[in-house]
Amino acid sequence: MPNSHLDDLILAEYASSSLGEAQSVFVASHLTLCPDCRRVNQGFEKIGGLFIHHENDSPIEDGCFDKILDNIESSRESKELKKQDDILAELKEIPKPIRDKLPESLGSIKWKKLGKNISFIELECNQPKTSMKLMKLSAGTHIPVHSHGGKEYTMVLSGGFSDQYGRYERGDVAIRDVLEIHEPVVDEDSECVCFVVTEAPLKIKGFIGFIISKILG
Amino acid sequence: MTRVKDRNTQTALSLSSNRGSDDNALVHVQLISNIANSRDKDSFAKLFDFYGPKIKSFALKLGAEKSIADDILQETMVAIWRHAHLYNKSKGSLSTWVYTIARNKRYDILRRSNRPEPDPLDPSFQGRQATPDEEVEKLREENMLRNAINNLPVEQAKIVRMSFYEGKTHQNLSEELNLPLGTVKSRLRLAIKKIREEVQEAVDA
Repeated sequence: MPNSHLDDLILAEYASSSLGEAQSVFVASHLTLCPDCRRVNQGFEKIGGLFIHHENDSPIEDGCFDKILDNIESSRESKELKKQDDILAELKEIPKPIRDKLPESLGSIKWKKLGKNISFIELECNQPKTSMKLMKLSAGTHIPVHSHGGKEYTMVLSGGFSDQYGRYERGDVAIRDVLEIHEPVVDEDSECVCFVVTEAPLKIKGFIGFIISKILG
Repeated sequence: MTRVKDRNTQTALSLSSNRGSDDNALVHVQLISNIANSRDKDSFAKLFDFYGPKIKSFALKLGAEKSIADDILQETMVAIWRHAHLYNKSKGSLSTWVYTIARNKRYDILRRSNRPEPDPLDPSFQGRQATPDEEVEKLREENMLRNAINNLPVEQAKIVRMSFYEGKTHQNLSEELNLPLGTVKSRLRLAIKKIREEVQEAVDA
């Protein structure tokens, strides 16, 4: 079970659907792995349920109910088929909200290399200035000291890393704000796969950092 | 402990907890069961009469045009019909279930994509069985939450409604209420803390 959880405010935003696409994928993925945060989320949804129960009534157009009945009768009820067994073993560990954003068929995932220690997959994201990535970091990798132009959301999917704020393993989340500088270091004994959402490009020190930040966005 | 409510802090929201409301909820559970078991259109019409006008109001909250609000209403009702068999009363009231469907349809229609959600059938889904105590607590939770929200001061209850229910971003709240972003967040945090304390107090009582 994860030890590092989501804050109440972001869970409340997710429960009411006011988060952007990328942040929603991030929260839904953590909820996939974290029963504790799911319970908080369910409590927040109950607040929504109470409000709709006591909501004022708006006038309904004539014929609205008949249209709904027509819709029910004219369209086939499709039984949703769940893709399960065709998921590659390496992707079974990745929560479905992230898998749904992978760019190609599950059988042909291509990691892009960035030097010998970092590889990544850019995920489809329609949110301006925001990026979603899967990142794979070799054991012992040091990410250069960096700050952020916007928030950076990181969730560990396998392996682990540490920074000056703590240590993170599968399901743990680390959310860094604009002014927070950190220097993540991957555990020495295994590679680390993370899901990372950035609201604006990283700010990495030095010329090499500049190049990395341009590539990683 | 007897709670004495100051007239000045009386919430304007008044989520009633009268007998009529509870009876309504019981009738609605029977109606959804009729839809699930025998595809009963009369039961569906009764649920539409109650929830339809409320879903429409909810759909209009974020400034959606009337035609879009009608689409959200229609898709929500179609989903209620199709997925009636998935409603599980041990997990919460029918209103909460209807709210989550309407919220998802609003997201899907306004953003033209499906709302990301955890899926219990996902191989990576980390499950945990609720203990019997937790199951009992879940059923009591909505009444406790209702009391806790009714006991919030007006300005906190208002911001909880706008954030938790209407789906307004913190930035929207800051602009609409003419408050600094930090004040919006701290007011929300305070409200959540009070709700949590009151629910815990009720659990312990």
